[in-house]
Formats: sequence, structure tokens, C-alpha cells
Amino acid sequence: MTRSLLEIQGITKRFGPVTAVDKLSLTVNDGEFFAILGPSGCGKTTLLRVVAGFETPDEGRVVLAGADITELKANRRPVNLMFQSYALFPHMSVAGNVAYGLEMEGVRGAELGRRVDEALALVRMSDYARRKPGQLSGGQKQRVALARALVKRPKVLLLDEPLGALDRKLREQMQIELKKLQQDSGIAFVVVTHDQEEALTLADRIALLDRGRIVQLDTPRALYDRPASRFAADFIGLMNFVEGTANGTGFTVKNIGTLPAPAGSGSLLAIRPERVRLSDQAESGAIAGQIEGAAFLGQDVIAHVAVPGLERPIIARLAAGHALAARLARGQNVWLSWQADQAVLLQD
Amino acid sequence: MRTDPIRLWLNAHLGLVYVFLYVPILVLIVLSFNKSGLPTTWTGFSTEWYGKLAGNPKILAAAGNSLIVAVASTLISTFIGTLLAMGMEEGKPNPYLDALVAAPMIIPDIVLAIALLSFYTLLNMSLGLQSIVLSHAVFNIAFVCTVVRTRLKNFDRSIVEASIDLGASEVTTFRRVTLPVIAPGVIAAALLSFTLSIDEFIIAYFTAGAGQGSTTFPMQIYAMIRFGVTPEINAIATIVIGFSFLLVLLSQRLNREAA
Repeated sequence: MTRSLLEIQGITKRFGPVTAVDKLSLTVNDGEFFAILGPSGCGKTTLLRVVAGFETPDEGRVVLAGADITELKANRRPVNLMFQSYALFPHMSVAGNVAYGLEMEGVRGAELGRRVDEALALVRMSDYARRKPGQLSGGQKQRVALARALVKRPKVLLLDEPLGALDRKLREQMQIELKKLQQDSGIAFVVVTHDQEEALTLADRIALLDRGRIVQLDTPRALYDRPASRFAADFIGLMNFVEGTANGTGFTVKNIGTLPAPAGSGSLLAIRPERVRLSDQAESGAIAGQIEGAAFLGQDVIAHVAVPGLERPIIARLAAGHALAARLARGQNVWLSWQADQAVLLQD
Repeated sequence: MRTDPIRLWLNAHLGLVYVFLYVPILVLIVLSFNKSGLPTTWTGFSTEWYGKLAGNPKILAAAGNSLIVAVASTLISTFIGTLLAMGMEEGKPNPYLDALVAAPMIIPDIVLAIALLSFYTLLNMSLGLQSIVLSHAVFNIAFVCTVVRTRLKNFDRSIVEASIDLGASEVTTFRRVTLPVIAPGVIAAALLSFTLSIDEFIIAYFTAGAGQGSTTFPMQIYAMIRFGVTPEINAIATIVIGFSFLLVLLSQRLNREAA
């Protein structure tokens, strides 16, 4: 059963003439991994700092487990924040960093030692307890920062761009660890990120933000497959856009004809590159085009197909094992098609 | 093995600079151990001048006064200067405010001395050790503020928020996070204040008043030197040099650890 844990109710935060967060409301459920995604300047970090208690909202309430915490000072909130820079105390050992928050609660002696050991074991940093933060790598620092926040057993753990400072390989590894840690601890995680891939992999639900407002709040799957706006479709993954008119059974484009589209209305057709089928044989109903260029990406091949009558080329993504993938040549004639229900109609 | 001629010249140059800087000081140290009272003849090694120093109540009193002045003005200026530095780093950058704080470092001592004396007279304040302490605090605050601010420039503000996030109050955060992190800078600043205060002459001379009781160490040496450079003075100077070296080494060490 899902139970709402954190309720953000109509939060507005202005900095001078700039409205960073604009009457924003959302609910995070118990034990959920929630992502707040958006481009830089969309207000996501401000929202996180409002929840942590470092910014006072101009309007709205923050309710945690039924209690209004809007007026509560940051050091009294049962919420912890993992900072983007990790913000480890440089003069304390790893164990000292993790113990700090517990000492503030008055935990002492054997109990303190036991809980610090537990937290370090959880993030596999037990062997580094005596080290200083300056002697740790980026990934290790992050684990310590996580342990330091988790050891307090917060109701909600807030994470500000948790993987932003790590290189790609380590980031993928930490994504899996973070997800596992969240599931094992059962604590609700709210992660703020500008990296759509990170949000898609980690989160149970994603709130996509633009200019201080929620553009779409959905599961990663739905956000990817059924974007509700051009902004959402464009921000997450690669997307082809074609302008025209929906006619109930297809999508009419000037100079080209009718393209496969689901039933509905809209003036913009969006189709993911991996949904585009590419063939070197003429097929009925397929759009003729010419290969403009192809890039080998390892697991797959990205092909740009120029279609006469369209301003921008259609991008198609083929698995590297696809029969055509190895022999795509510039200027080659190809035919594009897709299933009607895999395209999305948007108003724009 | 090939020797780089440029390297050779640079080393020779470096050697000459050190000779220029330290030969006079070396001469002074050697003379302080000269049995003869005359600087022109060496009659054998002796520590009798150091013994004489220890038995000279005027010098001991002056050294005591200087220690009191240096410790008191260092405590005052370290406290005020550190808070000032934190406040200035927190606020919006203001080059005019920066210049105002730095000014006491740049204003010629003689001008500051006259200004302070006029000010004390205007307030009808009695002159003595207390007025020297205040005067030294004036320029030391500027030095402390500058040294601590360089330390604060590299200070990651997010650790303060992290401490509060973990449940600490503002006071606890200052005591357990901010202060320990900036401590090397604060201690280096305090050492600098102490060094500047203990050998300061002009301002102390102007603001000490007429009483004999507030003669500081440099003032005492100045009084003695009017009758010629005695080996006793060489002995004092040698002790002061040893002490200064120790302080410099200490502050260098702290700075290295901080980096």
C-alpha cells in the first residue's frame, strides 16, 4: 500500500525578480525513489533546499508524515541532505564524519560505535574508518556522505546531483548501488538531477521541471513512451519531431503524405529513433529517404535519414546486429516506417 | 656530468643574497659571545653578557611589558579580526570596505602613532600599557583579518550547512566545524600579530605615556643604545633573533599543514 510521506503544497520561492519555484505541489510516497529532473535553473535545487530547510518559501507548506514542517529549522527536521560536493568535514575521520549527526542526537558510547560501524558496513567503507576525506577517491567520498546521512535514519533522504561529480563508469556502478541501498533501507529518496538517464534508471517516479513548474509527473516508462509535451519529449532521450496535422487515422504532412500515427489530435508527431524501422527495400506506406550519415555507437548505430520535404533528417537507431547496420552508406536510398501506436501526438 | 651555466649563476646569486641578508646578523651573534666589551677585538668565548642581562631589572621589566602587550593585543586582534574576516566573506564583496580594513597596514606607523596619541588625548585617556595594547590591536586587526580571509576563501560553505543538516546548532557548528577548519589560518594570524607587536617601536613610544612603568622592550633597547652598542644589546638581539626564527618556523609549518 502506498502512503504519502512528503507533501509539497503550492510552494513558491522568489529570488528578487526571479521566481525559482512557482506554486509547485507534489507528493512523495513512503519508501519511494523519487527524482526531480530538469535543466539547470529550473528550480529543482531550490525546491530541495526548501524541503531541507535552507530556504524559506514565500508561499506554500511542506508536510512530512502528516506534520507541517514549513517553519521548522533545518537542524530539527527529520530530513537529511546529501550535498553535491559531499561536504564532508575535512578535519574529521570517516568515522568521525558519520558519528557527527548521531552525537548531535545525544547518541553516545557503545551504541554510537555500533551504529557508525553498521553505516560504514552498509556502504562498504569499514576499512576506511580512520582515513581523512582528503585521502579518499570521489566514489569513496560519496559513500561516506551517504553513510553520514543514512545513519540518522531520516524519514526522507534528499540527494543533490548525487552522481554528478563521478566519471561515467563509476556513475553506472553507483547508480545500481544507490538503488539497492534505497530498497534495502526502505527510506524514501528524493534525488535532484539534470541527467535524464540517471532519473530514468533510479527513480520509481519522476517529476520533470521547467521554469519552476512541473511539466510532467510520471513513471520513467510513461515519461519516455508517452511524453505529454514537446519539452518532455525533447528533454528525455532522443526524439524525432514532424510537424503536420492529425487526421484521426494518420498524420498528414505537407509534400509527403500520411504518416502512421495513433488516433487523436495534435500538430506535432514524435517518434523515438529506436522505434523507426529502416529498410533498403521499397515498402508500401514507408517514407523514402537517403542516408545522410551514420555513427557507430558500440551497441547500436545511429543513422540520419534525409527525407525530401522535411526540414530536419529523421534519426533512426538500429541494433548493431541489424542486417543493415554494417552496410549503411551515405547517399543510399532507404525506406522508413513505424507502428502507429509507437508514435506520440503532441499539441504544439 | 654537465653543469648548466644558468643554474650555476642563479645559485651564485642566491648565495650572495643570503650573505647580504645574514652576515650582519651573524656578526652580531658572534659578538654577543665576545669576552671583550669592544666590537673590534675578539678575546675569547664567553656567556657573561647573557648573565648580565639576566641580572638587569630594567631589561627584564621591559621584556615583561612587551610580553603583556603582545599577548593582550594578539588576543584582542585575533578575536575581532577573525570575526571581521568571517563577516566580510559572508557579505557582498565591497572593495572600498576591503581598503578601509587594510589601511592600518599601509598607513605609515608614525602617522598612526600621532593619530592614536591625539585621539587618546582627546578622550582624556590615561596612557600606559593599556593604550599600547589598544594601539597594537588597531593594526593587528587588519593583519589578522587579511590572513584569515585568505583561509576563508578556500572554505567550502556547504560543510556549514551539512553540519546544520545533521542536527547541529549554529554555535556547535562554529565550534566543531568552522573553527577547526580555519584554525591554521587563525593561529598563523595570531603568530603574525604577536611578532608584529613584540618589536613595534614607534607607536608604542608615542602612546606609552610618560611613566617609566610602561617601557617596552624595543623602547628599552633604544634607551640603552644611546650610550653605544654594548655586547649586552648584542645578547638581547641574539635572543630575539632565536625567538623570531622559532615563530617563523612554526607559522610556516602551520601554513604547510593548512595547504
